[in-house]
Amino acid sequence: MTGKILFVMPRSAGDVLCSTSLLRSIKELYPNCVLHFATERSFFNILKNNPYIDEVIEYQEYMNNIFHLEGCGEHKGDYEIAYLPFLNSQSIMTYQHNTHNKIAYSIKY
Amino acid sequence: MHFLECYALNCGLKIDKPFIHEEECEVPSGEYITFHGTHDFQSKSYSHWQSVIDLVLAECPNLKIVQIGNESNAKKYSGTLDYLNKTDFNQSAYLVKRARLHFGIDSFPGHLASCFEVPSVLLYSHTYKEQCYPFFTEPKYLRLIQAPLNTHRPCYNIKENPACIDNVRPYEIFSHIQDLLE
Repeated sequence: MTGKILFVMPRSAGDVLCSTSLLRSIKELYPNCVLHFATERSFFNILKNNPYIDEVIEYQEYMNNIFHLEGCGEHKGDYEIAYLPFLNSQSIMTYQHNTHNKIAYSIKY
Repeated sequence: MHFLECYALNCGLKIDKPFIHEEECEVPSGEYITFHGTHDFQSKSYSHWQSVIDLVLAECPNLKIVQIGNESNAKKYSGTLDYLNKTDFNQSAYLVKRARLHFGIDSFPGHLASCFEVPSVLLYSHTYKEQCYPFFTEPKYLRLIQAPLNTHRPCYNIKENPACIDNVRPYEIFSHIQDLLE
């Protein structure tokens, strides 16, 4: 996969910092992906020079909608995969996701 | 479950080490410990920090206490070195990494100290400590104090009246600091 991946963590500083520990795992799963990290502008410096992030972008309200980000039906999203770890629904979406290897569990069909 | 474990589980990702870029800043000469005691959340604001600081300074007169934080309403405590609103996230990383210990409330500097495995004494009030503890620090270098709750569970609210955090005795915090410094 060579597409764009978005990791969303709007706030707060401690959550943004701790989240950086998950990014290596994304790059290992998708070594050729372009990883964007969305957060509030006041936390941009926490992500400065992070070796796993290609671009830090400002968090917007619409980024809470995984269907908007990844696309759904006729709507084509901007990202191949979007991670929204702070949403409870993310665990369900991870399971249902059409990108099977987004799920780190071994699933035999 | 810790919130980071919850994030990892939600996304199917593995937890590695966190990363923050350090930016050099002026650090105090000699040994120092960092302290972050003020938060915009009223439920995290402890009323007796001055007593804790006085106890630490009485026991360790040569140790410097650096007060950090960037809150608009931050209260300056006497006997501390004033770094309030003087360091950004990256400079705070540089400062905290070189500290002998960090103490204060559950906040960003607590997690920062955890990134560098700096021994920490932290207070928890409106959440369970099990959900927010400094994830990357070895337990033997941590002293986590859960404030005796006024209700059957933490309030999970930015305001709590009366605030359960004030149920913690200053001497208890001091004794944990003393323990880790030894």
